[in-house]
Amino acid sequence: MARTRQSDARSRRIGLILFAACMVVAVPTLIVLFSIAGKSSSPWFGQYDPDTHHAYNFSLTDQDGKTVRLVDLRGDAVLLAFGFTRCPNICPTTLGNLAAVYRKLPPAAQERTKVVFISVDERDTPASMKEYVPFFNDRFIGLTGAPADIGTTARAYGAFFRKADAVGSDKDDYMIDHSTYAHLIDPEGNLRVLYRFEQLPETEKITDDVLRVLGTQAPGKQP
Amino acid sequence: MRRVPLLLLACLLLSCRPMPEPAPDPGPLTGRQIYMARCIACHQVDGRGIPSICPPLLNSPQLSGPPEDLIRILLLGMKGRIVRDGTTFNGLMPAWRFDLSDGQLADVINDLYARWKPETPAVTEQTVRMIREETAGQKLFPTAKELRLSE
Repeated sequence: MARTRQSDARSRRIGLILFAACMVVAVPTLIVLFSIAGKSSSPWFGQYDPDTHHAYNFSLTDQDGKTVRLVDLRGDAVLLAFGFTRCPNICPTTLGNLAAVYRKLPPAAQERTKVVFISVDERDTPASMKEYVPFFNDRFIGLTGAPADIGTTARAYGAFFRKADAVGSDKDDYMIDHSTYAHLIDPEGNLRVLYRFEQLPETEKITDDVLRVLGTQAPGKQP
Repeated sequence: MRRVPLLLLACLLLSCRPMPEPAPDPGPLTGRQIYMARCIACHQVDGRGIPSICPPLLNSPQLSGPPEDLIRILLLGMKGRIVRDGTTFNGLMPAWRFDLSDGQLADVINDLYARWKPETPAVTEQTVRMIREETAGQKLFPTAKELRLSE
């Protein structure tokens, strides 16, 4: 009887020690997990690339006929999209959303942000870009280039484009199928965030991402 | 001793979250949802537009004019200079004929009417279909002058 009571007390002690040991492991683990979850309440909005990948240093022609290289934009955040000026709705919607992002930035951040639209259409020229780009914002940069340079640039950014069949007898009346991603490149020239077309209307969240790559957190936002 | 595993199990269960229920089918998008997804970058949630680029929807002559004009703008898009009450705007409106169905375009237009011209009779899917056929093959992004819109 006395042995049973002793054995019960020993079992209870072992149980308590096991329980305490579990708590010692579980409580800090839960604290760490909750703190990670807390931090992820303000994650990057787009698909963030934590690794350092230098964005391809294109060299193309802007709407004023000047050569623009990505490296010339070092020190600024760059929002980059591919498209063409005859695009019925994807490109105007993309640029409309990027213009809304730009308007939401404080003036100092606007000075350090460039929105770049690269045409994948060989019919586009600096002149057509000169007409098109100010429809959205006259500070945006519209780039064209030789088909080989455009092809290399698009491939380097993982962008796809393909000339669709001509409509009717006019061989110049055609659309271009193209991918619809937008990239955010940080001031060091690294690809940082990728946005799907469906994400672009969330301009407030993209503005926060731009401010983060610029190192100027949006007011009232947690790091 | 027997209670300890139960206690640990309870702790484990308390830290688990219930499985989320499958989201119900949201059904077709409403005119307002389409407006919010595709139009607010320029027209803004409240329709006030953007200075020098996109004129406000409030008191828009296109909302007071024939619905056919509005349908043409949504199908073909529009670009270039327009003047409203002495203020000039120079922007580009996307063409939605390839992306939105007749019913969706009618829903968007009726949402615009409900918000900014509530006394206007609703546009039907049939009217949109008629204008779609009429404008087939026309060039995209006409100017206000080419569309013969009233300023």
